[in-house]
Amino acid sequence: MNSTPFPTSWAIGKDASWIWEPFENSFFLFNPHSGETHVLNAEAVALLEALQEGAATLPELLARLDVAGDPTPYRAVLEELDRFGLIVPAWT
Amino acid sequence: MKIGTLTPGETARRLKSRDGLAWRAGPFVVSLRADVPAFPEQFHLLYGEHRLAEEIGKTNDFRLELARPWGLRRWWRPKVFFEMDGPTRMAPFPLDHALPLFEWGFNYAIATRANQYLLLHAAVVAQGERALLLPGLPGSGKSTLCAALVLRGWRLLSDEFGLLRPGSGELAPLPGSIALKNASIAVIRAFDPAAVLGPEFPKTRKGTVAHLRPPPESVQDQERVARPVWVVSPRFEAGAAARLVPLPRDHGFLRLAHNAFNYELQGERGFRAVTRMTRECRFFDLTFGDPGEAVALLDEMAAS
Repeated sequence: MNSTPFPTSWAIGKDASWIWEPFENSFFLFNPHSGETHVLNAEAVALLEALQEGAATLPELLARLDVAGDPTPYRAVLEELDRFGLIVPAWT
Repeated sequence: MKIGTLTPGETARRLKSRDGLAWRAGPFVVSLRADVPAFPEQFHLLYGEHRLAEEIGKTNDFRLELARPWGLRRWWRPKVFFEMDGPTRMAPFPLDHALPLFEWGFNYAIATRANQYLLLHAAVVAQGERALLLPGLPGSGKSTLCAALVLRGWRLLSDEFGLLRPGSGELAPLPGSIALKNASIAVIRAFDPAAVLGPEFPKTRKGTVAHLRPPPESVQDQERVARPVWVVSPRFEAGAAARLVPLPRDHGFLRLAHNAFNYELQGERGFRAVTRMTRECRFFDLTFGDPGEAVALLDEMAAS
């Protein structure tokens, strides 16, 4: 059982004016606010695109992406995107 | 007028003067003051082809000095300091290592001040206006390969910096001497017995160092920009056959970003510059044991 608290929903920050560049199997994202460049895989990009439609819980995001099955890998990706400062958790 | 048209005595006199000796180094004008024995002759040999700045009519971008301390260290185990608009934090060198100190100090000046460029840590050579970048960690064989390429006719842009103009994506040349270390000195002497090298400096922080004079044609062409076309990461391996392995572009992006001294400082324009290079260049890993074989392989790559 995972005891780490997990936010109820996620959203993209208000000033998300990122610059994207796809190369081969990776996506390079530049965040002008932090000045950081992130290398993202396809799952991370899909989650960010799904969040463009609005804040959502993990099940809602998986539904938007039409993903069935184990949500664990997506949960880890969301936590990573939060660490990068690309998405914002909500704890309601 | 070139530095080489001055006599060694006049070179020494100008280096000692209040304003120092100023010359054109790629896109920069550099002035240097130095009152250090033996240094003027070594500088004259390696920088003879560079144009004096007096006819350029541009103010100095870098004001450098090799300064001798007063007091005990002027006479007992004498030292020399590198200064750039005043003292720097670089540790002093023994007085008879003034040339390596100048070379490292000038590189330090570029790496810390020339932020109008995306500063790629790479040797850069070109065929015409098509540039080949050789990024590499110390010991990778970057300078050895760079020396071998320019001794076989490639144009030298720099042994140390890819000066990328972020707006245009062009590389500005900065041809100076090529610092060869340890075994690579003998390798290059054997590779081309006519190569002009300065004296050997033993027991520097990087071992024994000697400087290869830049090809005169490359210095004469130092205002001719080039476009990056190939990025080849060399790795010297004794006895290995030369082998060129293509890399995917996402690896290429990371190589470029990690090799830039000031990628993060550049912000969005750095990202866009690296993105553009990643799109326009081909990326390779090169393993080599013999510079001649590596040059032949890179000639073939450039011809294909």
